[in-house]
Amino acid sequence: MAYARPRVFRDPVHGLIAIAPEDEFLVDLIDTPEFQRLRRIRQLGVSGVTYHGAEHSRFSHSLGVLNFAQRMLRELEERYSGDKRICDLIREKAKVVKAAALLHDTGHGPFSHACERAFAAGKQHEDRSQSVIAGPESSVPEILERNWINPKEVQSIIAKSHAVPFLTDIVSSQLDADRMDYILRDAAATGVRYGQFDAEWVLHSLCLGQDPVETSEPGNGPGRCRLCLEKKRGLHSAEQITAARLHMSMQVYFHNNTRRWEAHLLCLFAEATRLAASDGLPKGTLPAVEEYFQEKGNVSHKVFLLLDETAMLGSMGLWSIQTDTAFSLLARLAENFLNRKKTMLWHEFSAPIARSREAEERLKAHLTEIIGPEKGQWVTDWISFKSYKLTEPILLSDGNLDSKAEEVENFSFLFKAFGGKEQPTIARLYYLPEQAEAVKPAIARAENPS
Amino acid sequence: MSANARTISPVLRLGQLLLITGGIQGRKKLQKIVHLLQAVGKVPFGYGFQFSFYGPYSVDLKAEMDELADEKLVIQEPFQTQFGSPIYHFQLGPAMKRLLEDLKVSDEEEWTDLARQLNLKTAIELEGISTVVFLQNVGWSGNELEEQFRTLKPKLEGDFEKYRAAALELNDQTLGHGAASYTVQ
Repeated sequence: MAYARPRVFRDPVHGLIAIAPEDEFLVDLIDTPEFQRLRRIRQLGVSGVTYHGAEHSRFSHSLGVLNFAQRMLRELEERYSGDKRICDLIREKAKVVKAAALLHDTGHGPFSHACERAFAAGKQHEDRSQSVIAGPESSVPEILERNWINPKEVQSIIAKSHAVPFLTDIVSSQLDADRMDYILRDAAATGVRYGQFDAEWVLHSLCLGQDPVETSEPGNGPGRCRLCLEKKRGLHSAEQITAARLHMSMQVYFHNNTRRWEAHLLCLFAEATRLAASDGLPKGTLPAVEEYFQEKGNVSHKVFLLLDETAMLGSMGLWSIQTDTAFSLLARLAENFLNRKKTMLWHEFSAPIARSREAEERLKAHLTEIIGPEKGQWVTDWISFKSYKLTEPILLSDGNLDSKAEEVENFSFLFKAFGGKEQPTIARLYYLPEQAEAVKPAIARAENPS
Repeated sequence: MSANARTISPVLRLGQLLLITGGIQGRKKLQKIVHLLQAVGKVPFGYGFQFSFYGPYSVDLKAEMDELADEKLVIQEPFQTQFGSPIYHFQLGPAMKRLLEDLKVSDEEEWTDLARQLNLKTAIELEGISTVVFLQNVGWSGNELEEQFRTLKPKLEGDFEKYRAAALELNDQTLGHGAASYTVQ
């Protein structure tokens, strides 16, 4: 008798990621140009300039999210093995959730989140991911439909509008497969060990409960349940994952050096956009890259598939050797980016300026007036970080499907602090050295507004 | 150069919305108005919306409003309703008024009428219309759209046709508007 073996991927975080023979469609999805493109998008954008190990891709992260999503579904199926309603629901929808977990990041542009700051069109990679999943030009919907999966249902998981909330929670919540993978993977790749938490215990503690916000209606049934952690055993693992994210954010994601290189990239992109709209980019620039800047990130699916970090870095190589004075800023920024030659100067504001949106707006208006628009030769970076969003609470439950879940902050002083008003703030201004003289009085004015 | 012709950040854009509408009653109403202005009116607020229990919802918009309220740029005044839980009235604070004046942000935009028109609707109406628009943007149409709406919003299902018609009307009204009409930051 023929024995179908699962497909396995060796993974530095998970060990082995297995795809069961009945889920062969996931392998077909992995083999699409849309998914393969993720090999050429680094998970942490420009963080590699700060942490040299941060070279891992969205491809490996997406496989990791799939693995956690698969394991979450399995844990729930085992826990509720005596409840036919829940088991049937999980079996019926498992493929939808797995597809959403695998494809959730396919909309990322080159340099991941850095690119989202460049243009309004790149703001939400989730929107682009949704058009990869169901758009007419994408090769993904055909594979989904061939396997009796409605692409719109997969989209609904990412948009959080799926009719079964706990399925959405697996892919998008404060306790989702995405967060669990990126914290562990980023920590392992950067060597920043703060990003550790007990993932096995989180999985072991997963259960379901009724939404605390939804008005109590007996008989809501399992279809309206939310993903929870078991009240008796899950609290500390929830605290740990939230603290890990807070520390990773401060140590890695918002690291001054990384944000400085992001600002450098934004200025380079702004100059490329200016040139694309006027005299054109240097001859030989890849058409996809040229179109990206001409259209301010708003490109067709076909062009999007060609837009990756290889294309961007290749173009930067070409730009860096331009001798025409019309390209001098572009050439300098490209060359310095490729050779990690620090260019941007910076200033860090402290509280109360760092907490003031008014100060930020006045500074931006002033700099626009004296230098020109933001991202041309200067970039502000006011980060209001929330380690835990009270509006999207992590829920605790006794595991009974009819029990109303409760917000974790009701049981934890740490979560009260994580969700409180006192949060770390970061407020920085990055600028090109030739603007230093102009910037100095603007900083002084921001710090002494009277 | 006026800020409207230059660039307007999300913070100033929110201030501008309150300037245009003269204030918005209720968190839900504020969320849905911003969602509809962004989704239908193509006004670049720049917030990501996902679906929550009360329809399209942006965690970032909520956080931004809280910050603006903490800084007193926006006055977030609670008033008690007959249903028990308070409703918040959002208005411009004096500091935001001064900021908008100093930075020459005016109330004249292509979307001014649309914003005022949306503000005349009730929170429930906006929840219904906003949900239809959200589902349309996810790709649902026809009977499937109706089915999704009924599943997600069982309490509003009786008025589904009314909300679908209102969403259609909004789309028709804003057909002439394109994202390019606005200065995008």
